Amino acid sequence: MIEKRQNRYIKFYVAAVIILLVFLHYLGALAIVEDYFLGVAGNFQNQTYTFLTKLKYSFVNFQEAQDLKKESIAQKDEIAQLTYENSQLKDLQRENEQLRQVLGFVKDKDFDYVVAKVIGRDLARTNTLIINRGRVDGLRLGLPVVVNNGVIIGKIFDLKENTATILLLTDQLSQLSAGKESLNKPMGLANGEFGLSIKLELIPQDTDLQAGDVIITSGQENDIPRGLVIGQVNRIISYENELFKSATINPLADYGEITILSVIIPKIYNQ
Amino acid sequence: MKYFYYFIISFLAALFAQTLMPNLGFFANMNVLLVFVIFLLIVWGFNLSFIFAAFIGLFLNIYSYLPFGSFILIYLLILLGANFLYKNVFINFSLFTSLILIVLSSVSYGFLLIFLNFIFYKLNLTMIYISLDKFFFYDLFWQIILNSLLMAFVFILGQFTTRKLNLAFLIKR
Repeated sequence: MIEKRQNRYIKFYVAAVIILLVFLHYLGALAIVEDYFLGVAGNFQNQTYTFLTKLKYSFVNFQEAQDLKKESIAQKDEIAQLTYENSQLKDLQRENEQLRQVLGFVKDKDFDYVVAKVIGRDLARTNTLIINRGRVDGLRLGLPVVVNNGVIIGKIFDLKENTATILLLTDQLSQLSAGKESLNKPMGLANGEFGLSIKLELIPQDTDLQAGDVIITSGQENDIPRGLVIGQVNRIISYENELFKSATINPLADYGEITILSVIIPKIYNQ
Repeated sequence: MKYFYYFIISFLAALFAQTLMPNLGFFANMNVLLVFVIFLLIVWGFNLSFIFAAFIGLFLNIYSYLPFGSFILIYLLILLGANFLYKNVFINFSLFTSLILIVLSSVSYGFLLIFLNFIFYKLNLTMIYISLDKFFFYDLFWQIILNSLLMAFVFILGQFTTRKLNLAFLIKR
């Protein structure tokens, strides 16, 4: 009988504790405990997430290896063609370098990097990544996140003291001002599409755009420098009676494989 | 001391959900934590499932972009509803009861999440919201299917370990 009464009151005790914890959280009294917990748990989570990602791709890689064996025979001619094109590109690169020297062009980096590890995803929204860097590391909302030497994958949309949540470019609510390397002005708006791809919209009809073009950030947004690679144009959708055309873009990074990334911090915030 | 063990188990369950589940591709739709909580409700009763739901909600909220307390509220509301149905409507231990409860809980979870997210977005407490579009319903549909399969698997597995479970239909305790 006494045990039944004790069991009945347990849920009230637990509810009271939870309400107290929520209250203390908003007062800021739990910050030290949360920070310590995130610091301890973050490393463990990163190891687990990295291991499981690698395990997943070990199965994928074996199957891909089998497929690649079959494809390699057919691609020998293509390799020869690419080798010729590569030599042409190298010539252009040398020429470009000489022109830069002639013009006295100095490329100065105007942003810093903070390297971060992925520790998981937000269960409330799957097109996200949670990283082990936060406010204490100098991060701010809206900062771009890159992988592979300049391929942008998303922006920070939620920030805590020791962690941050990144909204991937393929998410429906993700928007980015985009352009092309040969254009000095913005070309359109890159919107995420259902967690799978990116759609470039509001492109003026007279803009020269072809499949295979590399789309970059336009630099029009405050915290996002120009030149970060968004993706490559896959297909152009254009109707004559419409003011704008659109294009689908293939991201150049596999978002499921990312375990380490960099957050770009414009230098203006470090002064 | 047992509450400390519940705390650790809840932490490991939340960690498992956040690190393993996103790597499973299509199966990432499965809500392992919800199945876990509802299964505890059916087998061990409301008190224990209440404690786990509270701890799991606590851990999920530490990482989530939703305001602190959101996941706690969602899990506890779902648990209260499931407990009410279990005690007053279904009143037996069968597999079908557990399947119906997990289906209703999965639907409730999806809509509670979208509803709370929308309210917080309107109150400027969060920068993004979840759209009520065909892809939400597509994800919800598969979450229901996968959660039901997982519940059935766990239920059948549990039958070999405890006498409390009964696979027959309409047999009362």
